[in-house]
Amino acid sequence: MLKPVRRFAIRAMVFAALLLSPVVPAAADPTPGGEVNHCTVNVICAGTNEPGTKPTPGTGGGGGGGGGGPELCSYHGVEWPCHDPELGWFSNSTGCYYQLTNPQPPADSPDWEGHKPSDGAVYDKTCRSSDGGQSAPEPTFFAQAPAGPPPDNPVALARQAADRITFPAPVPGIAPQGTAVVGVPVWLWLDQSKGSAVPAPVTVHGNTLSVTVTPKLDRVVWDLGDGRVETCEGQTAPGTPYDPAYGAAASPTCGHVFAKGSATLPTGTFFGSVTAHWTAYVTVTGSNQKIDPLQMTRMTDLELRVAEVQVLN
Amino acid sequence: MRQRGIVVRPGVVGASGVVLAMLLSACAASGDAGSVDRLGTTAPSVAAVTPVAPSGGPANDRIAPTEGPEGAAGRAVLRTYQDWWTAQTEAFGRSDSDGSTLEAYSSGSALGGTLVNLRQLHDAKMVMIGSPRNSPVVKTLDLTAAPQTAVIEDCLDVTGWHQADATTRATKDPRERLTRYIATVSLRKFDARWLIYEFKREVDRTC
Repeated sequence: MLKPVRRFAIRAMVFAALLLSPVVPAAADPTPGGEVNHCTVNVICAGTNEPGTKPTPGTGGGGGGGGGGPELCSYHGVEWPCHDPELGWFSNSTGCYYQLTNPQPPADSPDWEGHKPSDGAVYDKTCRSSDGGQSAPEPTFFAQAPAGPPPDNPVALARQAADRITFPAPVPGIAPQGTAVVGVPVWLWLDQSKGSAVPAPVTVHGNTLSVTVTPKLDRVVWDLGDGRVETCEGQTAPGTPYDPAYGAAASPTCGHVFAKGSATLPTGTFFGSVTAHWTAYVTVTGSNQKIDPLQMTRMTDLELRVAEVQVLN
Repeated sequence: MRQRGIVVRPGVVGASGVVLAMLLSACAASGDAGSVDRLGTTAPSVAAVTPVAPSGGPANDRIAPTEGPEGAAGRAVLRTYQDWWTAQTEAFGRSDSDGSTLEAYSSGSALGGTLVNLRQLHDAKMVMIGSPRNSPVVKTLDLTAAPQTAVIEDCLDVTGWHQADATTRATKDPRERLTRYIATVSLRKFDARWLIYEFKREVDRTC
C-alpha cells in the first residue's frame, strides 16, 4: 500500500529512472536533441491519436475472398477487372491478361523460347489498349506467373472461418447435484453430451490460400461464489464427469472443496459463473504466414447450495 | 481497511483468478469490495511490486454490490477487463501481433482504439515493454437491461509501460507522458460474454 508521500517519492524515482534509461544501450541517437518520439499508444500519453486514422481491421492489401464487386486493376489510368474468365489475370505493369496455355505446348515448341518445361510455363498473353481493343492471344514463356489472383488476407480468412464456428456456452456438470457439503470434494466438468463439445475445425478457401481454424478448449474458470475460483487448464480444462463408482474421491482433473456453507446468505446459495476460454488455432495452407490464434470466451451463471454438514437420516 | 498487495504477472492466468477471489472476499468482509489490483511487471525479478493504491477520493465512493447475482456478474466483469489488459500487454509487446486476441474481449470504440494504437506502434517500429498496473472497481451493473451493462472505474498506472524500439528495445517514450489517471470503461454482455465497448480516458483526473 502506498502512502501519498511515498508514492510521490516512487514516482520521482520512476521518473529519474526514465531519465537514466535506456535499459538497452541506445544506438547512435540518444534522447537529448534527438528525434521526437510520437505518441503511438494513447493509453500512456496525451498525444495525437484521434479518430480518422482508424485502420481497417486486418492488414490491408489484397481483398480477401467474398463480398464486393469484381476487383479492379488499372493500367495507364484505365481500370480493368483483375480477372477475366476468358483471358485470365490482369497485370498492372503490362496492361495484359495472362493465363496458362492449356494444354502446355510440346517441349520442342518454339513457344518455349528455348526454355525447358521445368523452367516455367507458357502463358497466353492478351493485351488491352485504352480504346478497349485487345491483341490476339500470344503464347509467351515465363519462369513465374506474370499475373495472378490478388493476394489473400489470411487474417480476414481466419475471421471468416471463426465466424462459422459456434463456440458453445459452457454446460456445467457439478457433483454432487443439488447440495454440496463443506469439506467434501465437488467435481466440476463441462457436460459434453449437452453441447459443451469442442466444435469441429472450419476451413475457408481464398484465391491462393486456405485457412483452417481449429478450436481448442484452453481453460475453464469456475467462480464458485464462495470467494474462490478454480481454473482448470489444458488437459484438465474439461474436467472429468463424476460417476458414483468414484465414491467420495476428489476429481482427478477439476474440482473444489467448499470451506464454508451458503446457508447464512440471504438466498441460501452462492452465485458464481463458469467461463470457457476457447482458443482457435489458425493454420494457413499455401503460405508460411503465421497468424495469431483467435480467442473466444463464453460464460454461464452458477447458483450453488452448500450445506455445513452432511444430513444423515 | 482495503486489502491489496498481491500482484500477478500477466500470463499467470490460473493464479490470477484465485487472487481476484481472495481480494474480493477479503474486501467483502470489510464492506468494501469489487476491486482488484493486478498486472504486475513482466520482469521476473520484481515479485512484489507495489500495486496501484488509489488515494481514496471520488474513485471509491460508489461500488456495485459484491454478493448475490450482481456480485457474481461483477467478478466476471472484472475478470474480463483484466483479461483484456493481459491481451493488450501481450499484443503490444510483439511486433508481429495482429490484434486478433483483442476481439475476444472488446468491440466498438474500445476495439477500434486499441487497433489504432497497435497499428501506430507497428508503423513506428516500436513495441510496448513493461506493463501497466491498475485497480478497477465495478461502479454500476444493470442485469435487467438488454443487453446487460456494467461500468468500471479504473485507476490506471502506466508509469511502468513504455514505448520501445522493436529491435533494440531501447525506451522511446513520447514527451506528453501520462502517469496515472482514471479511466471509465463500459461493458455489455453479448452472447454469453462480457465485452468492453468503450474505454474513456480521464487524464485530468488523477488517482
